[in-house]
Amino acid sequence: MGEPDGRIVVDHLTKQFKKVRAVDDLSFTVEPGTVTGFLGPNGAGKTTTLRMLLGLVTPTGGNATIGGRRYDELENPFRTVGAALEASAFHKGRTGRNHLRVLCAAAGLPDRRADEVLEMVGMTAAANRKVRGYSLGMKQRLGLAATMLGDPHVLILDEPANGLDPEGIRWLRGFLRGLADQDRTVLVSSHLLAEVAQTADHVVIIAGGRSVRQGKVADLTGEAEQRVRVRTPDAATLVPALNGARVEPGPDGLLYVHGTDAPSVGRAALAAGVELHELTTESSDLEQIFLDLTTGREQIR
Amino acid sequence: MTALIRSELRKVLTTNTWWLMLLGVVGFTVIALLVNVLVVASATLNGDPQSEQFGLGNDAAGLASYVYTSGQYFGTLFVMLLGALIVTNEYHHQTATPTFLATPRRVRVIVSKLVGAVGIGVAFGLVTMLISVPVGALYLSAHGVGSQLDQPTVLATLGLNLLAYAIWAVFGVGIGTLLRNQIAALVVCLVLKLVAEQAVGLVLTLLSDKLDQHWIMNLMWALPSQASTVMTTATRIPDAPVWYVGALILLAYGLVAGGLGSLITRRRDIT
Repeated sequence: MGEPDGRIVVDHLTKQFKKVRAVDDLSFTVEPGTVTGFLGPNGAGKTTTLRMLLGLVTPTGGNATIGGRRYDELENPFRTVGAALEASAFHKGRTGRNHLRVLCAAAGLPDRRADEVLEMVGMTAAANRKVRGYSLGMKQRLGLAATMLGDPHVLILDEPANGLDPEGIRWLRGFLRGLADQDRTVLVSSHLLAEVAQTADHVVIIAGGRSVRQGKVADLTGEAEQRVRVRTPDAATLVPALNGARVEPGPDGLLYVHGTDAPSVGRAALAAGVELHELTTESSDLEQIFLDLTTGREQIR
Repeated sequence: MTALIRSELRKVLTTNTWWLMLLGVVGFTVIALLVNVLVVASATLNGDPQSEQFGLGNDAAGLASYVYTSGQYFGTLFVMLLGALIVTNEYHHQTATPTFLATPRRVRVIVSKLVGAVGIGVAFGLVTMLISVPVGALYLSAHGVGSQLDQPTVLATLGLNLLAYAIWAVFGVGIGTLLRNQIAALVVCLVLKLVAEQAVGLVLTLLSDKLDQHWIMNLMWALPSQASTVMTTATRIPDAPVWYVGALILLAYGLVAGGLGSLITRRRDIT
């Protein structure tokens, strides 16, 4: 009540396992119709957070709701939320199709949904094979198929790209984009920022169970520092001509020039009569930002 | 609830375990039936002196009941194991996650498993009787005793035989829910059914002899297998309680294990 359908609210969520505080006073909100990347290094508490959100793990403190209700209060959870957690949660001796039909029965959905979602993830050909013979990528697809059974507004996916080959990752991006275009709320966790940066609107980055950064992906990308990559046989003449810009030597005589742009470096080189073999603008990638935010926060747990 | 029970039955029927178990039940039933007919019944009917040990005497209805419930001991063992597997498979294969995502109210899942296991247990019991009753009836008729299928005690025994299959299934689900670990649950089932009985029986006998307190022997009827025997024997065993006391004892074991397990399952983190 009060909360729009599909808003995920994580409110001061804490989970203390015997010795480890896996999640520590974590709060964030996922707005309906957005794709949010939930990021953090391995062991940061992502899976524990998602399991608390889905009523599988009881929080030590705080609460997590979807559309204003706890998961275990949802009347028919599959019609509201689709969730894929680990890629190995299948009986190896059961076919993919039967796995889905078991869930259809439990959720009161018609059996034909099993075939429809298999079609959606491109698994129709493998439907009647036992999961034992599936590759990791196929298991991921089967897990994604299960999330779509009840045609939910909200999707919660834990590391769906794990074990996918480049072709599979490209397919996954398209799949997530498609979900977002249908105005569904998607919360997708990953330990690789680049994996979700192309599809996510927002990111929540956690480390050591705490939030270290939340915001729009665009803002994060904007912060990426630019540097100019220069290759020259005469660094000794060029460097003083750069008017005090910070120069960092790279391998093989490469120079990284910070605090200026490529045209300025080119102009300075021309004025100084220095020969240039390479002049490129580089932005430090998102992965670097992610590492800067999370390094030192994680501990071995 | 019916949807959930359907889901649980589907879980069982879409993997190989059930028919392997059924094959085992059928195999043991055929062996038990052969022994019961060719050794026990034939000796009793011929009045062999050695047949006294079977204690069936001139009781034709008792003999028929004995033959018709052939395979019960191992049949109920398999049903108990299947009951335990129905629960522990979920943890062993990590399917507990999708199961509890589909049904966050976990006690409903356990109850559906109980109902599903009872259904499968009764079905297994029916299969054994489809073998034992016709074969036994033919044999008894051929030897001039008649099928005895018009005797109330024989019909009661057939019904109680099915009840035994149902209750042992409940017992299995209870143990699985309580222990979660597949190997541990299966070992406990096997020990309870095959070993513990004899061991405890021996201890009780020793105690009652040493202390000269005969009542101690009666504690034996509280053991699962003995309770099962009491329940399924239509004619009274000397010193034993009435059949329904056996049924209640057995049911209590199953429900206490299942109830405790449900309480734990409700609160436990699924990781």
